[in-house]
Amino acid sequence: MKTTLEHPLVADYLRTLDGALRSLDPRVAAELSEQFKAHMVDALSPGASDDMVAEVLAALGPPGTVAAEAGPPWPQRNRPRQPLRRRIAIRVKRTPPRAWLIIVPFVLGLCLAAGTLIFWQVQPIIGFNSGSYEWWYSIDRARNVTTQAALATQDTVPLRPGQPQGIVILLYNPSDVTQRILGTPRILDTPYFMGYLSSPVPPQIAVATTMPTKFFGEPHEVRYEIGGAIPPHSYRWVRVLWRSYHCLSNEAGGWLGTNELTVRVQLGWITRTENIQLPTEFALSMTKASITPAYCKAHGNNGPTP
Amino acid sequence: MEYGGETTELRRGVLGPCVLALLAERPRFGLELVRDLSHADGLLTSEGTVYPLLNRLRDAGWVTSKWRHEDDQRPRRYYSITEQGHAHLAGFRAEWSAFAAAVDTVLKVDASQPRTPQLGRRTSKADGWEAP
Repeated sequence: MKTTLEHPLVADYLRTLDGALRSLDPRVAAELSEQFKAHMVDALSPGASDDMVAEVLAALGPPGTVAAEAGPPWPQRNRPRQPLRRRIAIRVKRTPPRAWLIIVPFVLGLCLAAGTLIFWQVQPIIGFNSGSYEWWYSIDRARNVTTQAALATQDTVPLRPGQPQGIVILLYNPSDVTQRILGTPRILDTPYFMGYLSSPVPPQIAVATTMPTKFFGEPHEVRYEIGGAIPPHSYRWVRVLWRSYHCLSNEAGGWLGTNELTVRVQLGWITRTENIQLPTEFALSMTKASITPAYCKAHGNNGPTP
Repeated sequence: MEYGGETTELRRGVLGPCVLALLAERPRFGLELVRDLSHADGLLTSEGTVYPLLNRLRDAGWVTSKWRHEDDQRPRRYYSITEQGHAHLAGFRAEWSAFAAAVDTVLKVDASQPRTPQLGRRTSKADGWEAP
């Protein structure tokens, strides 16, 4: 003898009911299915006739009506709101296992990407770490005057108008990632170096391709690469060359200089601006020869009037 | 005239308190509860809707359920009313008496008689109705 639930009409009704309940929370649907089965087992004996079965099923009503009734909750306005943790737990429980195959790798990827970006951003910047420095050209080295005042050092050479001048510094990358020096940032499309030196072209910044061996007196013995990189926890000679002009004053005298080098640096996939503190104030003293009226006039700078 | 929609909504609204009232007498299992509700003519149009309602009452904290095994019977889930359910039912009973009386008063008015004296009259003042 077939059980009540095996009766074809009952089985068909339960199948239709399960289909109608599919749009509901699985927990709710499972519970309703169980309640309906219990109802039928209680209402019908195993040998019930088709008419009796049909009568019980008709009294239960169409499965679609049951599913619709299970939708908007009647006592909703009085139902206490579940705590956030409970709501999250319910949402997690409702998520089908197949969805986790997408969600988990996506979240892990997102966390990994965010963590990597943060890791790059928090890396310390390149700096001067008790190394060595000097003017790049021998003519400047020969004419350098070092002065010290108030615990600050200044290295000054005469400005040679229209000619290349430069410095070379031994810099240290204290971070855990390779930092590639891309160049100087451009501010308002103005050729920019040392903040206020009026250079007609951006300075050229190059990084030594090899590790220093002597840490002193060897900057001319190594090769340089524009856009070169300093590996993590490593020293490299960094060379900065520019073509000097002077159009900020009508008169000779005084000096222009900086103790900070602003560069664009690439770490991993990000680039950032780093202000590298220099070991000294590199300064160019202005002479009458450094004022070039033709150049200043051509570039609209505050130069001497003809 | 179509009035099935109104009674359906009314039925839906009172079915919950009716379930609570039956459970306040004694705990019942599903079929027993459905059969008792069916004895009240016109209250239940579809027996299957009782189960979603029971689950919502339980989620609201007004009904609880427990599996019980009696003698040779198979285990059954018995529903019973909670303290919160009793409080809600008491509140509904108080509201329902006043509400049903008000509805009865209005529905018993003879349509052939003018209604205004039964309900109030418009005064010349701007603040609305006053008692007759």
